[in-house]
Amino acid sequence: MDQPTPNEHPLAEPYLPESVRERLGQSDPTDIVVGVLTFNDGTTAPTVAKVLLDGFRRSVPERKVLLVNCDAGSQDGTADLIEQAVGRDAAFWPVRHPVLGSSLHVVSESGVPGRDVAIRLLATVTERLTAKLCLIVDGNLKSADQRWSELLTSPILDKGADCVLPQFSRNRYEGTLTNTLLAPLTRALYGKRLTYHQGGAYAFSDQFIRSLLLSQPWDDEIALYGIDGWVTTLAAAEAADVCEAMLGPRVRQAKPMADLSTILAQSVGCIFHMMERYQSIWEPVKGSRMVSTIGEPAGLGESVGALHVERMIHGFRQGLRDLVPIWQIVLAPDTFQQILELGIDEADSFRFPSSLWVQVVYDLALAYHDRLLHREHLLKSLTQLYLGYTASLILTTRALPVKRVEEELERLAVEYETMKPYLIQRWRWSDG
Amino acid sequence: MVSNDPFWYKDAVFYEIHVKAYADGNGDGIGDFQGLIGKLDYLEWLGVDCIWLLPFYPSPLRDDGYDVADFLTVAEQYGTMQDVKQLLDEAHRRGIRVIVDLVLNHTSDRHAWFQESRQSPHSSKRGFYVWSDTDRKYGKARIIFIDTEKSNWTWDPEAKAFYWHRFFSHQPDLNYDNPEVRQAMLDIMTFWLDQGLDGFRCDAVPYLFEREGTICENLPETHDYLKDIRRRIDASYQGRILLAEANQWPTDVRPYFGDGDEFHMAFHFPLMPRLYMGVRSETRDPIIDMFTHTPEIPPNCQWCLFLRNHDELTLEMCSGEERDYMYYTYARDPSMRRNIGIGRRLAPLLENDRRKIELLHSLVFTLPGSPIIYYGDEIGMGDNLKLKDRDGVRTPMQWTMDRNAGFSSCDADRLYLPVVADALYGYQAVNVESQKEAPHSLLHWMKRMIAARKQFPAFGRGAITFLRPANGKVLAYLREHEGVVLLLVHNLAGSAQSVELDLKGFAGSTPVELLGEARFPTVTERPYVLTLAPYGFYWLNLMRKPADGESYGIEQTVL
Repeated sequence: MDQPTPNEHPLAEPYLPESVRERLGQSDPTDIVVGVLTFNDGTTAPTVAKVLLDGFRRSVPERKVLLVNCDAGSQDGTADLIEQAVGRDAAFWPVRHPVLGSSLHVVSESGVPGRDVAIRLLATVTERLTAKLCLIVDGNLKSADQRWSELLTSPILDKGADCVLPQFSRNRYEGTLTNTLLAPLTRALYGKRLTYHQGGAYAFSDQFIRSLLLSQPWDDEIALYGIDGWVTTLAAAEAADVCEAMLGPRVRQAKPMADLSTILAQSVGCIFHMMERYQSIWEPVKGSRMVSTIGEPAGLGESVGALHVERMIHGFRQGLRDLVPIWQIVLAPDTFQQILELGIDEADSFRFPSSLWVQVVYDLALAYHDRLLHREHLLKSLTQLYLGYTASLILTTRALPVKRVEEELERLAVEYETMKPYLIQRWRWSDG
Repeated sequence: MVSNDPFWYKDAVFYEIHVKAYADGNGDGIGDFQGLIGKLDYLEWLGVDCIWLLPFYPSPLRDDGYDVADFLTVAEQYGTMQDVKQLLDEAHRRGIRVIVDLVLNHTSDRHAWFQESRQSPHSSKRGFYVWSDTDRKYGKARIIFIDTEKSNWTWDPEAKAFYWHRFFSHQPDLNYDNPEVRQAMLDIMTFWLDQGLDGFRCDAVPYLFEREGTICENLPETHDYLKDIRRRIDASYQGRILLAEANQWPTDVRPYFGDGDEFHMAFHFPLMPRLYMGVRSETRDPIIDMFTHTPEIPPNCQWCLFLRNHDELTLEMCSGEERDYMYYTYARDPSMRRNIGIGRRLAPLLENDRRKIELLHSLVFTLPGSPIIYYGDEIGMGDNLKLKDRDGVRTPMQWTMDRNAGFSSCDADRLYLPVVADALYGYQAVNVESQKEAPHSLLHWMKRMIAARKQFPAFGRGAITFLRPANGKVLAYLREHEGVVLLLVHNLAGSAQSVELDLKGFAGSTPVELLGEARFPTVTERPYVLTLAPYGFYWLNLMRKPADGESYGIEQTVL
């Protein structure tokens, strides 16, 4: 990491509510800033805040901790309930962060609108109070416990890591988009084997905040793609020392999510968008390496919810019926031909080869780069292909032990790395 | 290439063109097929699915080509049969279909059949027309062109008999009681279908037969013949359509669809003036009333909706009071009136108010039916009231701000009609080239709306349910098709309006605006509040949260 630059915060200022500016002017430095992001999370956030503070009291009792509740305008008295839970002795700032219209449509499992503004605000507070790090946790994470404080911050405090990202224990078909696209593509591009779990619990060092987070263009693109994928990609692409904390299962107070194609367009769009900016970084990267971890590793769990594979295949075939003109534009002729051939398989014998899936993803990345179509439409056209590949993955592995699913996903990740020259050659040709 | 969907016309956007008015390929001042071929890229760019060509047959042009002198070839000034074939090939290559006007009811008095017919009572073609020794027969039939015709009978001194004509006296009606006529017209249709045409817009279909004691319109014999035509076309040609011009009430037009075995499509004439009435009176009632009086049509049939065409804005299907209102509000100057209607183009009718132009287009794009755009209306072309009859709305297409609006390279005095050159609508101000350059022009707006419409078959095929919010200035309706629910909300008023819609049945859905894909607040059990700008409208897709029966099981854990 580069050395921190002198405190400069002109860009952050407009996003700071007046109350925060006043507090910043009156406050002493602190060691750790803990941000709890909420929006009508009165039933869960007080416990989250309390266990995090208790965790710090146990693991680093000598450190000064400031708890900041960034709230998007709850109607259920979330901030008051947090204050009651943590007690009057704790340093606590209830902050209502501004919610910009541009970020309203962004998908977030936390259901907190204006999440990007909140994180920018927390980063600014961390910098201004010269804290060592900032820990950010979603207020709806019911599984947060005292260990999280240490797991998410000790790599920074004790080992000089720049950023700690979460790794949750998951069941075999949980996070299929992450496991089949976001994580392996990020790994192939930047050479870091991140699990890419976007669960709303992460920590950033003061250096990471100063030299990377606050210096980013905090405008349209974050509003377009959502902060979680953006930060994760940043950690992967930049020369940052990243650690993953094993946080156990993630249990959250569920909130309505957007439709599948919107989730897909935003999360995949984030990576594709960042590929443009980091081309000089990802192009020469070959292979990949593990990142450091802390905590007890947990493999995939066995539990499987109700999965409707036939509907997924039907969704894929609907794509074959409705989206062929779009796929014809965005996919390479060879890829397109292979996709067409998949449509004739019987449901039980339906197979979508991993290599073809990777080829599809790379073709989409190229089409996005070349702006062959309106980008949102292009990204959404991936939905039916994703359903097809996911159905195939489930059909191939559902009778096998969970270990085999892990092996299959690892093979897929290697496929992404192996086929990276396919992407690079076409990207160069396209630029030429 | 054109699609194989036999019901393509249900989703299609049509575009009406007069060959002579569109583009002049040989510089003689008259539009022609070569000129039109050169503009197909533009039509493809715009998103047009089907071109409707006005009559291009040889004609003395006393009724702008609807007085046909020969059905089996092309008027010399427009080109050759080879040009027609080239047009069809080039259009089809771009996925555009072509239908043409076919005047079934009558011919020109210059047609060889009439010339032969009038010569002698013993002529082989005598029976092709309706001759009489008296002008008293069929007295209950109305006179359509009351401005110019005093009777439906005209004395022919050469034949020494009266001949029957429902339109101009130079357009004698064919005698469909004669099987030779019926066969001859069928042969003409198959001739053109063999050339590759995709169908016919059949002119003046209610008047084919005459029967004493009736108004000589919509007779059973007419339907029998039309069904015969349809049978023969279906038997030999795939995906071709018949579009009926029947300026009648929907209940009277309904029989022209038969049981799905007569016309594929028919114009919805009475709706059109009521769209204008609704906007001017700022109330949805005339529009909803018209649909209340519109019967169901067979599932393989479709209405054609339009705002303007090559004729006057017809007020035949209006009551006297409604007609007065339309004249008072849209044609106070008598020079704007033609026959029973208003001889103006869309933009001048709406005082060039872009908001109203967009609002009315939004209505014809979203109400049940397939929209037809009259050439030039996509750029807001004006008219020329000084020209006779309906020529004022048939002036050359305005392509550029160059000489003759880029329509022709000839001297201006050789143009078939002068280009519109006034300060507001003149070709220097209103033309395709400049609007293509301006991303927010009416032309680009039309292109975007056409594209948006094409994404959702519900517009062409969906059922309609009118919502009836308390605010009567707002017209809101649902279009539903195969699980897709579109909510269309229009403010007919020139002031901002708020409306509360009862969408309880869609609680949990998220309205997504079709053009910008912006997500609106989720629908709940409570009234759904929308605010609309003056003449504003929304096209919203009510995206349902997947029910258990529809989910894939991975949505909540996809990341």
